[in-house]
Parts: sequence; C-alpha cells; structure tokens
Amino acid sequence: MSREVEIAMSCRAIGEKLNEALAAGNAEALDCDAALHMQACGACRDYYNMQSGLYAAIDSGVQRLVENVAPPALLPGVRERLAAAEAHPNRVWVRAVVPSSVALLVASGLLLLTPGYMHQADESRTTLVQPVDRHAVPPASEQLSSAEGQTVVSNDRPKTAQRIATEPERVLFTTAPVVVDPQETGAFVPMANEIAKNPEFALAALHKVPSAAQQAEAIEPLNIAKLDLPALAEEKE
Amino acid sequence: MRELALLQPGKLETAISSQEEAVARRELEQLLRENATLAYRVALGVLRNVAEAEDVAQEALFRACRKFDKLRDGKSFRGWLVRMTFRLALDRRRSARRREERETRWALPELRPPVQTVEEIAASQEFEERLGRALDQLPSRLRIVILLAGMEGHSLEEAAEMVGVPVGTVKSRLFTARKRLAEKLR
Repeated sequence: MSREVEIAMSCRAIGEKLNEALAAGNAEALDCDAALHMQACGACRDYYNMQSGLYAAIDSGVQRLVENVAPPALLPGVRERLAAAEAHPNRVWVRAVVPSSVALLVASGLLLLTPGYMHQADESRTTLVQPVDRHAVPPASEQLSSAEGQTVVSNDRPKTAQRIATEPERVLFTTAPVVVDPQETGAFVPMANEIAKNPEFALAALHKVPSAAQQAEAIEPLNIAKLDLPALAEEKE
Repeated sequence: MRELALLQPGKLETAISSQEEAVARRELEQLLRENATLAYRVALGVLRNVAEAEDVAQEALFRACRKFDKLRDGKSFRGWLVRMTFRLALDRRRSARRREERETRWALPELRPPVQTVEEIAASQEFEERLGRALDQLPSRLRIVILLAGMEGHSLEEAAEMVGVPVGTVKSRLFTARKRLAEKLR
C-alpha cells in the first residue's frame, strides 16, 4: 500500500472522528493518534477548523433562534382569555363541541342524500302487500301465519317483458320489504292476495313462456330424404 | 359579631375556599411569568415567526392554566407546557406549509447581533434560512432537544425533565441532531 493511499485513508478516518467529537460537543477529547495526525496533516487541520466553525454557527444560530424575549402582549393575552373563559365557562365547551357536531350533522346529511337512504325514505309512500316469491313459493298457510310474511313490492320502474326475460334469476325473500308505487297498489294487493291463496298461480305466472319466434325456431325443418316412404309398387301390392 | 359570623360553617368554608383560590391564583400567576418566555421560545424555535409563535405560546399557556389543578407542581407544569407548545407549534407549522409561504420570517431583526458588512449580512441571512430549513427536516424528537439545549440556562438534565426522557437519551438525540444539521449545512 503506497504512502499516499495510507494517508488518504487515515485522513478519512480522522475526519469521521472529528465529526463525531464535534457533534458531541467534545472536540478536545480526540484521541492521541488523531491529535498527532492533525499536527502533521494540514488538510485535516483545515477540515477541523471548517467543521468546528460550522458547529459553532449551528449552535449560535439555534441559540439566536430561541433566545428571544416573550412579547409583552403574551401574558396579558393569556389573562384576558382566562378571564373570558371564567366569565363564560360554557364557551370553551361549546367551542370544543360545535365543530364536531357540525361535522356530524353534515355527515348524516350526506348519508341521507345517498340513493340507499333515499330509497328507504320512500318507504313512507309505500304500501305493504302480501309476500310474493317468484321461484320458491312457500305454502300459503306458512305465509299467512308468519307475522314477518309481509313484503313490499318495489316501486322501481315497471319491468318490461324483455327485462324479465333477460334478468338473471333471483329468489325474493318473503321477509324483505318491497316498495310499491301508490298508484299500483290497487292492482298489487288483489294479486298478492290471490297468490297467497293459490301459490301455483304464482308459479304459473312466473313460468317462462317461449316467444313465438323461439317456438318457430324450435321446429326442425322437414328432411324428405330421411322419411321412410314405401315405394309405389309396394303400395300396389 | 364579625368573628362569630366567620365561624358559621357555610361562611367558614367560603372563606377557606376563597383563600385557596387566592393562593392558587398567585401560584398560577407566578408559573405563567416564569414559563411564558420558555413557551414562546419553543414555539419560535419551531415556527420562526414572531406572530405565530406568540399565538401558539398563548394557546399553550391558556391550556396549561385550564389544567392548573392537575399540573400544580412547577416541574410537571413546565414539562407539560413545553411538550404542549411544541406539539401545537408543529401542528401550526404543518398547516402553515399548506398555505403560501409567509413573507415575514425572521422578524425582529433588531434582536440579532449586529453585523458589519453587506456580505456578512447576506451570508448570515442565508445561513439562518438554511439552518431553519435543516431544522424543519429534523424529526420532532431531535428538534425539541436541540431547541431546548440551545436555550441558555437549561441544563441537559432540565431538558430531559421537560421532554420526559432520560438524560442519556437527550445526549444521544442532541448528538444526532447536531450531526444531521451539520450534514445538511455542509
């Protein structure tokens, strides 16, 4: 290892030691090797002077930052606030509670405005009708005896034949409320009563009937070649 | 007659409670006078803005006074006040960062030591700005230690008491803080 590289490595190590000592505020506690090295190495001496100046600047900067006298208005301001708080003890409490209450109100308002809550709010305009289950219709006696058996039919836009045909099959729970348009109540109530009496009627009503076009497609075309027709001569015989 | 009236149970209690109140008020007033500057310095160390530091110190002192019954002991009052002021100042600083940069940093130029030349003024202001930025980047646990250590008249033991950590921890944090500041300012 050449002498220059040795010195460079040593300088780096000394620099680290110097930094640690200066950061600890104890530059005098450098070990003997470091002190000897600094006496011999001008670069390390310069580095030490520079770094000690930097640390001194940091200390004085921080000190300047915090060594200020409190403004004369500080204590009178605190006394004034204390007096005001004593005169109106509720104000502090109100100040703490009002923002959270306002936030709570806004949040609940937003929640009420969401579609789900609007849907529930529309229940006031709904009519309770007897349960209607599209696929798994329970026995009529069970439906009638159950107190929770009342179901409300949705007042969503009316289902067209196409929507019913394309809609994925789903089972309606008899306990779930369904919203009904008030104008349609007159039609739904007798129907629900009828279904309650005759569940087969509901099954029959919900049974998918193939459309005319589908029926036409279902008829296979006539294949004459495959027909088993006896020859005319055989007929004569 | 007057003495007899004072011995009546209800009035006696009232007299005692009013005496206690007077003593508490005197204690509180003394603690306020002793610690107002400390709170202000801690706030200024974080915020570096005189008006905001005053606001924060006032808020912290007000809160400390409201909890005076629990914090009657001078040492716990001081430690609580320092931590509260520091937290409030940090909150204020964070919210202030979101706003536009304020013009008046480093107010009170008359309190700074006089400098001789324009170059020195420029260098000093530049260094102070860099130091302020470097301080902002320090973690809060290091920042409060270096600020408290920078205040004249506070030993490391006192700083440890105020922060609520052992003296060894304060020393170690101070070492780390100074080292990091030097790295940033080098």
